Amino acid sequence: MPFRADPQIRVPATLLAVRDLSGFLQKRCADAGIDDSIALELDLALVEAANNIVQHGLGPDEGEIGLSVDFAGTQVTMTLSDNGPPAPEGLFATPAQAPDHFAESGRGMMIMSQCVDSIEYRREGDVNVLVLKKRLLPR
Amino acid sequence: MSEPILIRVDHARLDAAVAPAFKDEISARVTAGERRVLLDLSAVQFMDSTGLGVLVSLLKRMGGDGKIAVVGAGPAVLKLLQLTRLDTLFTICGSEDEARDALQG
Repeated sequence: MPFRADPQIRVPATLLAVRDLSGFLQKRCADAGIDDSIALELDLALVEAANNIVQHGLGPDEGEIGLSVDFAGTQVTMTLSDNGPPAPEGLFATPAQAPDHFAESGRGMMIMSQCVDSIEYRREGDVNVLVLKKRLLPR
Repeated sequence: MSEPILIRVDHARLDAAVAPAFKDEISARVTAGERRVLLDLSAVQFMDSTGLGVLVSLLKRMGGDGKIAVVGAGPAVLKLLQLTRLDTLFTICGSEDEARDALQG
């Protein structure tokens, strides 16, 4: 397995398994006593990010997605890793735009950017690492 | 005016994993020419952008004068609708009676 990071959970890169990542996050948030509204925003960001990895990165059943959820002080960090192809250059560098009201897709990036405070992407060897950070205090 | 079509969604998670099946389900329920749908989302505890996209596709299929009233939207559904600003595209109602009234208008 080529992962350099050591995720707390790994799941197959399938849309159904994204639910397991969500369940893991929810348990971590419950254990940490995180407010429901904050936990929901984290869940939305996580699910959209993981869906993107499955739908636009790894093909069905082609690999794994790793996740770590770490609380430190007033910040939570979600680190996603996968062994799919690199993300398109600049994908996370530009502000996400809202699509047309009647668009049936294309809202994932916008939702992610609204639900967390920072999104960082890097390539480590043959692994994609996506780091989502959110302050736990009200904005 | 005839009664709107009532669709009670029984997926606890309306996400990318079930979106294709859900789209087939509602496509079978809402035939061509239908203009009013009452969507009960009481059972939905989480919805992602793919699930939301299916609702948008339903509205588009109903044509320019189509209207969808949503009841039973919980915090997760409301949050997604607000984040995406699609709370203006669907009529959010507090009860089925309110939704039926809204669909009459």
